[in-house]
Parts: sequence; C-alpha cells; structure tokens
Amino acid sequence: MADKEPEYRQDGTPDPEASPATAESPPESEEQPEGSGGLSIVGALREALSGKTPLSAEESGAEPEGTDGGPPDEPEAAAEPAAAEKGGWFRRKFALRQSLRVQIAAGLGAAIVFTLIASIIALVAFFQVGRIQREINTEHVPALTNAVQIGQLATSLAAAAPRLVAEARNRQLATDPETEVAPDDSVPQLDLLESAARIIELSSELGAGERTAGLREFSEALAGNLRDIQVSVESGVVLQERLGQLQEATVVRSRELNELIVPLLDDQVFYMATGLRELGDDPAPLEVRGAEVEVMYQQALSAVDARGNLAGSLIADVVVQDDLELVETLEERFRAATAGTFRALDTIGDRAPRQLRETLDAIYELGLAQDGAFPVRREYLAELRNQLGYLARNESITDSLEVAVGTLTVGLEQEALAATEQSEAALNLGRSLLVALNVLGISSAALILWLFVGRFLIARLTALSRAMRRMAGGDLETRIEVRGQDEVGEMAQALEVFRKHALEVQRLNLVEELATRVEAQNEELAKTLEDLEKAQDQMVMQEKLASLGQLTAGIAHEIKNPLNFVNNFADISNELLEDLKEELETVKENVPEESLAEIEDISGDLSGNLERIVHHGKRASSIVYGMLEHARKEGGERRPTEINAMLEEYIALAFHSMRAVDSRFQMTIQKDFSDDVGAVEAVPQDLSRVFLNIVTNACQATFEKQLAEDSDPNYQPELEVTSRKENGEIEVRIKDNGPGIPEEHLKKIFEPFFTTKDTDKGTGLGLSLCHDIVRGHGGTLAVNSEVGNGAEFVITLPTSSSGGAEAGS
Amino acid sequence: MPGGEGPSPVADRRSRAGWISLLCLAAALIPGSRAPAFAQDGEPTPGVSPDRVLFGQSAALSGPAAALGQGMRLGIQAAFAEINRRGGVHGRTLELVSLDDGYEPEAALANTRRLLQEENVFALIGPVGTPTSRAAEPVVAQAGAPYIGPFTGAEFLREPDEAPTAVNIRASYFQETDEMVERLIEDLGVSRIAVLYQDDSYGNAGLTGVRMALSSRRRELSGLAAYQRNTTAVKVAVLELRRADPEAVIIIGAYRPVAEFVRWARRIDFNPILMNISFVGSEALAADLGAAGEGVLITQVVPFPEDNSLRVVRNYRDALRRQERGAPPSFVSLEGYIAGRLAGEVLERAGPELTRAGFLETLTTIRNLDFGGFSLTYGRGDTQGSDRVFLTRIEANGSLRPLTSLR
Repeated sequence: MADKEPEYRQDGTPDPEASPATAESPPESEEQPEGSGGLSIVGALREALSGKTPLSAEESGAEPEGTDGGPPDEPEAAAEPAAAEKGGWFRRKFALRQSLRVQIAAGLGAAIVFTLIASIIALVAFFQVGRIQREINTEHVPALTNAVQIGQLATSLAAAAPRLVAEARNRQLATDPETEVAPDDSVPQLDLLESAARIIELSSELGAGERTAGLREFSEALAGNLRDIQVSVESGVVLQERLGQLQEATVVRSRELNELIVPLLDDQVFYMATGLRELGDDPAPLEVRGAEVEVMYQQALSAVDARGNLAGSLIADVVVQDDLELVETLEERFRAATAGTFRALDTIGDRAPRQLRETLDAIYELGLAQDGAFPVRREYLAELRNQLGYLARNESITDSLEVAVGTLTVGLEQEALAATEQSEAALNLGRSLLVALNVLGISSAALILWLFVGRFLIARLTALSRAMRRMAGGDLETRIEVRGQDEVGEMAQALEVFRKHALEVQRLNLVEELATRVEAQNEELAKTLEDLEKAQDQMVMQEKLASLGQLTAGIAHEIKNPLNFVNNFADISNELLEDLKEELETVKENVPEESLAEIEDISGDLSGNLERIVHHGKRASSIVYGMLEHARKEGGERRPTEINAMLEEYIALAFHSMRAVDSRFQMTIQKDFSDDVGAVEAVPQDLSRVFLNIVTNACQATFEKQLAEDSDPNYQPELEVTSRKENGEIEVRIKDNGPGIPEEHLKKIFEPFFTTKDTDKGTGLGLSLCHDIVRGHGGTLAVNSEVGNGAEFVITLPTSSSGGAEAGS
Repeated sequence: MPGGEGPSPVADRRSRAGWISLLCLAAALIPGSRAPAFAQDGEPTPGVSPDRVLFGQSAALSGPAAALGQGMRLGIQAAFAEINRRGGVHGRTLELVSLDDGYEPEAALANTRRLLQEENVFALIGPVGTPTSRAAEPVVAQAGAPYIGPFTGAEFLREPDEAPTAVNIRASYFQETDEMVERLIEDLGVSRIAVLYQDDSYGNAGLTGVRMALSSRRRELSGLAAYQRNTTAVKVAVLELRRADPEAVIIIGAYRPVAEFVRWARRIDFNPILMNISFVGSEALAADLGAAGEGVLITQVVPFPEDNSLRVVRNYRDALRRQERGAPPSFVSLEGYIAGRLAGEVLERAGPELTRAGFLETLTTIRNLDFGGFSLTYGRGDTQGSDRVFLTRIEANGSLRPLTSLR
C-alpha cells in the first residue's frame, strides 16, 4: 500500500489543504456539507489501522477509491478530481461542514419549522374563531335568549287574561259552594304583572331601538290591561259573593215567609169553612166567617204568599241571570210583586204578625237595596262586559306584541346566523389551512425521510453494512463504494483501508499456509519414502524367503520319500525287535542268565536306538512337513468358523498335548470369551493351527520357566485367553506369564526359521506361519512382551471376509 | 218551591254521586279486599285510632223533629256506653259526636261534610229524615263511609246503586205502608183509604208506598191532602180529606202537624181510622194528643220498648237507665240503641284492622244477628237488616200499646 500511495497522488490533483472529500465527491449526492476525518471515530480507527498521522490518514483515506489490489481505476480517479473541484469551491465558499449531525439537524429542523408554521396558522385561525364565538356568546345569544323569554312571557300574559276571566266566570256560574276553585288562579294576577315588568326589563336590556320600543309599549299596555282585568275580576268576585249571600238570605226569608203565611192561610180558610179558629171555639156563623173582611183577609194572605214567593223566586232568577235586559224585566216584576205584598200587607193590617212585615221588608231589601240582588247583578253584568272589552283589548295588544317579538326574534336570529356563518367561514378557512399544512408538512417530512434518510443516509449505511458483511464472509476483493462527505463516508473510507490491509494480511496468511503445507507434505513424502524403503527391504527379504522357501520346498519334497523309508523301516525294525523279545521270553528258561542279561541289554540298546531313529525320523518328517506347510500356498476353503469354540478346543488340545509329553505340566487357564465374537470367515485348519501354535508356545515357555533352576516355587503357569469383538474386528489375546520375550527377538519373532528353542523342539516356522495365516485372513498378529513379564499375542481378524494382504509366500 | 228540599244542585250532584257511588260500590264489593278502597291516599282509616273509633251524627236535634234526633242520639250513646263498659271493640272505645241540622237538608249536608272532613269520623250513624239523607248520603258515599241506621224508610237508601254505603236497620216506608194497607183491608175490611202527607220527599215516599200497596190490591186512593213541612197548617187538609170521606187516613207526617190534624179532625167530627207511619214520633204524638189521641194507630219498625220479655228490650232499658237515668223508653231511642249495637257488632266482626270498606264488607256477612227478639240479616245487595213492621195504638191515657192485629 505504501508503494501505491505516491502513485495515486501523482494521478490525482488534490489540494493538500482540501478536505479528503474532494477526491470522493459523489455527483449524485445532494447535500455537500464537508467533514474532516480528524474528529471522527472513523479517523481514529484508520489511524490505529495504519499507524499514521491524521494528515496522512486523510491522504490514506483518499486511497481506497483508487486502490483495488489491482490496477488503479485511472479513469475514475481522473474524473473525480474534476467534479471535486467544482464541489470543493462550493463548499469552500460556504464553509459548510458536512456531518451526520448537521444533516439530521437540518432535516428535523425543516420538519419542525413546518410544524411550527402549521401551529401558528392554527392558532391564528382559532383566535379568529374565538373572537367571533365570543361575539356570538356575549351579544347574540343573550339577545336571542331575551327574545325567546319575551316571547314566552308574552304568550303567558296573553293566555292569562282570558283564563282569569274564565275562572271568575266559573265561580259566578257555580252557585254550589262546594265547587272548588283552584287556589292558584287568584295568585297569577301578581305573576302576570311581574311577567309584564320582566318583558320591559328584558327589552331594555336589548337596547333602545325601534324594535324594543314597540315591545316596551305593548308590554306596558298589556300590563295595564291586565291590571284592569284584575280589578274587574276582583270586583266581580266581590259582587258574586254578595249575590251568593243574597240568594241564601232570600231562601231563608222565603222559608220564613212560608212558615208564617201558610199557617195563617190555613187557619183562615179553615175558619171560613168551619167558623172555628181555636179548638174550643164555637163555630162562627156563616155571615161572620164569610164576611167580606174575611174574604179580603184571606185574599190578602194569598197575595202575600203568592207575591212573596214570586219575589223570592225572582231574586233567585236574577242572581243567575246573564242577560242584562232580562234583569230589567225581572226587576220590574219584582217591584210589582213586592208592591203587591205591601198592598196586601196593608189590607191585612194589624192582623198580620210583625214578623210578616219584617220578612217582607227584608225580601224587598234583598232585591232592591243598593246592594240588593238587582243592582248587584246589573253591576256584575257590567263588569263582565268590561272584562270582555279588556279581553278584546288584550287580544289586540297581544297580537301586536307577538308581531314585535317575532320581528325582534327574526332580526336577532339573522344577526346570530350571520355571526355563526362568519365563525363557520373562519373555521373552514382554518381547517383547510391546517389540512394543507398538514399535507405539506407530511409530504415534506416524507420527502426528507425518503431522500435524506432513505437514499442518502440509510442506503449508504446499508451499503456499508453489506460491504462489511461481505468482508466478514471472506470476500475481501470487492471494493467498497460508499460515497459521502460525512461520518458514513469516513466510515466507508476507513473500511476500505481496513479491507486492503485485511487483503494483504489474508494473502500473507495464505502464503504461510502454503509453505506450511508444503513442509508437511515434504515430511510425509520423506516418511513414505522411508516406508517404501522398508517395504522394499521386506519385499527383497520376502523374495529371498520365497525363493528359499521354494528351495526348501523342493528339498523337503525330495527328502520326504527317503524319510518315509527311514521311518517305515525303523518301525518295522521296532516291531521285529518286539517279536524277538517275545521269542526270547519263550526261550528265556533255556538261556543262561548271562546270555539272557546280555541279550536283554542288547535288545534294550537296539530298542533304544530304534526309538531314536524313529524319533529323529519323525522330527525330520515334521520339519519337512512344516517346511512344506510353510510353502504351501493359501488354500483350503473358507468357512464361517466359531472363534470361541475353536479357542476352547485348541487350548484344551494344547494343554493335553503338553501333559501328554510331561504330566507334571499344570497350567491355570483363564478364559474370557465375549459372546458377541461369533464366527469369522476363515480356513479352520489354518486358524486352528495358529491358536494351537501360540498356546503351545505359551505352555512351553511357562513350563520351561517353571522347570528352571531359579524358579519361584510358587510359580504356576498361567494362561489368559480373551476374545472380543470391537469395531468390526475380532481380537483374541493370548497371554502367558512366562519368561517373556526380549526386545531384540520381538522384531524377528515372526520371521521364518527364527526360533529360540533347541533344534529338536521347533523349526522356527511356527509363528511365521501363524503370522502369514493371520495376514492371509486379513488380520494382524502382534506380540507384546517384556522380559520377566510374560508375553501377549494379539490376533485381530476382520469379521467380513477380506482378502487382506496376500500372505507373502 | 223554596223552603222544601233544594232542587237542582242536589239533583246534579245526585247523578254524579250516583256514578261515583257505582264505582265505589264496585270497588267495595271486590271480595276479600281489605285495603281501604276509599282511604285518602293510603292514609290510615279516618276516625280509627288504636284506642277509639269515632262516629258522627247529623240529625234534627232542634225544631219539630227534635225528638227524633235526640232519641236516636240517646239510644246510640247508650249502646256505645254499654259496649265501652265491656272494654270496647278490639281495644277501642266507641265515641259519638252529634251535630244539629234541624231537619234541614242544607244543614245536614254542611254537617256531614264537617263530620267527614274536619272531625274525621269513621262513619255516620243515626241521621234523621229523608230529605236530609238525600242531601248527605252522596257525600258520605263518596267518602266511602258507612251511613248507619238512618232514621228513615226512604227507598233510595235501600238501593245499593243509589246508596252504596247505607246500613239500614228498619223496614222501609213501602213495607210499613204495605202493612198498613194490609191490616186496614184485612183486619178492618176498609175499602176507602186516603192519605195525608207532608209535602216533601218524606211524605212523597210514603204516599208512593200507599199507592203501590193499594194498586197491588187493585184499589185506589180515595182522597189525598198535603201540608207544608215545618208548619202545622193542616186545617185545609182536614177539610179536603173530610170532603173525600174516607174510612181510613194514612198519615205520613211529623207529630206536631199530625196532632193538630187529629184534634181539628175530631173537632169537626171527622173521625176516620188514623194510621201513622213510624217516623211520626210515636211518644211525642201521644204526649201531644193526650186523651184525644186514643185510637190513633202507629206502625213501628222496632219492637215495643217496654216489652221486657225481649232481651233486646231488657238490654236497651239497662243501657238507657245507665245513660240517662229517668229517660223514658221510646221507639226512637230503641232504634238508636239497636243502631249502636249493630255498629259495635260489625266492628267486632271486622277485626282489629279496621277500614271503611272492611266494615261494609263485614256487614254483608251478617245473617240473623239476633239481639234477642229482634234480628238483623244483611247480604250482598241487601242493606236493610229488618223487614218487620209492628203495630201500636195510642191508648186513652196517652200510652202506647202494641197490637198484633187491628181487630
């Protein structure tokens, strides 16, 4: 990187004093407030990365654009400075600092300004509406309320008057004292006047003016009228009461009259008919009782009775008479009637009881006194007529009042309506302004959001994060192309630097890794070479062995026959000797003892010598046999062979064989066979030979140790045989506690003809054969031993049939 | 004619009262309803308090019919005192407040109103007279208050539709006049019968009864005369009846004018059989007439008040003695006593939870309430306890003697 740096600087023409932003001005970016790297966190990062001074950090910040790990983008580098120059002048001119803080502040600020403007407008609109509402509340509404109240009062006033009158009427018509008059009807008269006063009050509240003048005038007139009605009604009531009294009095007086007159008449008629006044009287003669004076008396009494009753009934009539004209008529008749009674009274003279005169006078007074029935009734009727007049006046005033109220109400309504409309308009204006501003505010906020935050800020941040993720994912190749003069841009620059460094580092690592791998491979190669050499040696040896084997096989084959002869003849000879011995027995008595002893000695020696011949012959056979076996190629059929069973059998065989040879031999045999060992595809004869061989070796070794001169008396030969199945392999371990095998022998133990036994005890092919057999089955045969610690043979066999390594022949 | 009964207002009231009475009756006849149908807005029953029941009386305590009102009052008071001496009814004593209406309908109406609304009486008891009852009864009916033992035989009081709260004791005028006619015709073989009647509803009631009695026997009146109430102007009536020449005159009148009639009739040698209705005031008539009253007949609706063989008379005379020592027994006060006893009996049967409607309801359950020689029976639609008419005659010494027949 350090190499490339000066290269780039030559290509570009950045002014060292200019901010790093010049090299990177993105043509698309709208906002160009510049920021220096020195203050930002990103700058510090870069510092740490490159370990350079702030100045050089700026310079290196210019790099990422140009460096790519490959050839620098020259055309781009050429174009950018040109654009940068223009932008640089602009920015320099206004000395604007480009940073995220400023950008966000500017964006929010714009939004806030819009909100403020909207609020101010709303406030203004509300003030306006409030003003109008206040106007409505303080002026129009009370005025309307007043008008409504006036209307109500006027209506009640108008209704009251006729009601008043009607009630009074009812009272008059009802002569029955038990008719109950609603008590509250007399009271409203006061309320009505109050209502009228209230109307005046309310209209003055509405202010002077034509409308209200009319209201006042009518209200006053109405009030005056009502007062008149009230007075009239009251006087009517009084008169009515008086009439009632008169009527009651008349009833009493009429009864009085009757009770006076009727007996008098009754007596008089009786007297005129019978001449008797008292019970004890003598009857008066006809001319006395029929005299004119009696007749006149009787007639006068009748007249008083009739006229008096008539007068009474006339009073009763007039009391309820509604027609003023008829009242006149009745009065006339009353006058006539009462005149009649008085005339009759005169006729009766002093025969009349005083009471009678009093009663008749009273009746007269009841009718015609100043407060008598007739004047009172007339007066009452006049009052009624007045009331009618008042009512009529009431109606007309009411009409006018209603009209005035209506006009007033209408006017007020109109004013209120106008004010309401104004307020509506203001509200609407305010509302629409608010809506517009809201729309404007929201759309500008959205614009800001989309342009600045979205495209400018978020997009770049997203790009940056994507780039980081790419880098984290391992892609260090792709250049980071995030533009901007603000913190985000700086972050991008820093990231680019980082990327380049990381790239370098990555490459270095790669190289290192390769070197290491190469080294490792070399080592492996060396080892392989070693192995190969070993194998080669082994091959050579095996070749040698093979050829040797072939040789020995040939020899063995050739020797086999002669050996057979030897063995056979030896056997025959032995048999012959036996025959001789037998013959000797038969002639034993005939033979001198010295000769017998001599014969026995000689036969004994012969026997012994033959035995030795046989023995050695057999030995030689077995060697030949062993050698042939050794050379024999792998043959025999493979069959599934139960390992554990085989072990059992051949361990026992080995043991008993040993005991057969020397019955002193004892061995503790520990068997631990796993049940899951099962069967293996193997040539049973071969495999059994292996087991037999190894176990036999163990027996022999341990027996030797036991028999050795310096052996431990407590020493007992022990054999431990285990079989396991593990990882698809059968593992058989045959361990003994014999003397062990020295290390230098361990290596050669499986070599053919290697043996530590005496020449007549083994051929040295046993283990080699075993080794080959096992290998031929695809398994392995190994031995672990330490001197003094016994030996352990480990046989592993694959459970699946495998060719395994071909047994070397 | 003024001076008689008040015409139109009463008539108007009567129709309205009749309608209301019908309603009241309908409500009162709801079986088992003990709730006071007419209690004023759920208030406790008027006149009833835990320790007393208050009764009201508006009757003629002055005027020509004073003896009737006073007699009734005395009898009722005697009966109440007797009951109170035994501890009252369900722990309550019985009390009576009496007002004088002078046998005038207007006064009767006013008194009755006062008794109901101001005195807050539980029931009216012992009123006197037909026109007075005509005036007072609607008010009483509207209040749902019982109208107990009115001293009148007027027919309308016995019609539950017209007088739903009336509690009558005595036989009606129709029954009395029918008995009169029966006795006259059967016992004395009389064929010409005339009537003298007081010119008011009382007299008219009696007249109607006689007419009915005669027409049911296919006869007619032989003569008819009237006199004005509260007067003794009977002389012309005497002449008129003499001209008709009847064998018997049935008189529907008050004792003073009747006494005058009797005297003047005899004076002019007009001597038909004279038969009076109970309302006349038997003792007063006898006293007024003296010897001249001999032979005058009077029908009665209660037993002879000196017939000590009857338990009711014995009880009555005891109670009378205790109430007013020296008071002579009379038909009127006996009737008052019986009224008082009946009231007490119904109160007893109505139980401690006393309401007006309950009282009236209990009344309808009474069958054969026997006071000892006089029993009363009521039922649904039957507000008259007794149907019995007795006969009495004034003797020469001015005393009264019970008769079983006119022979």
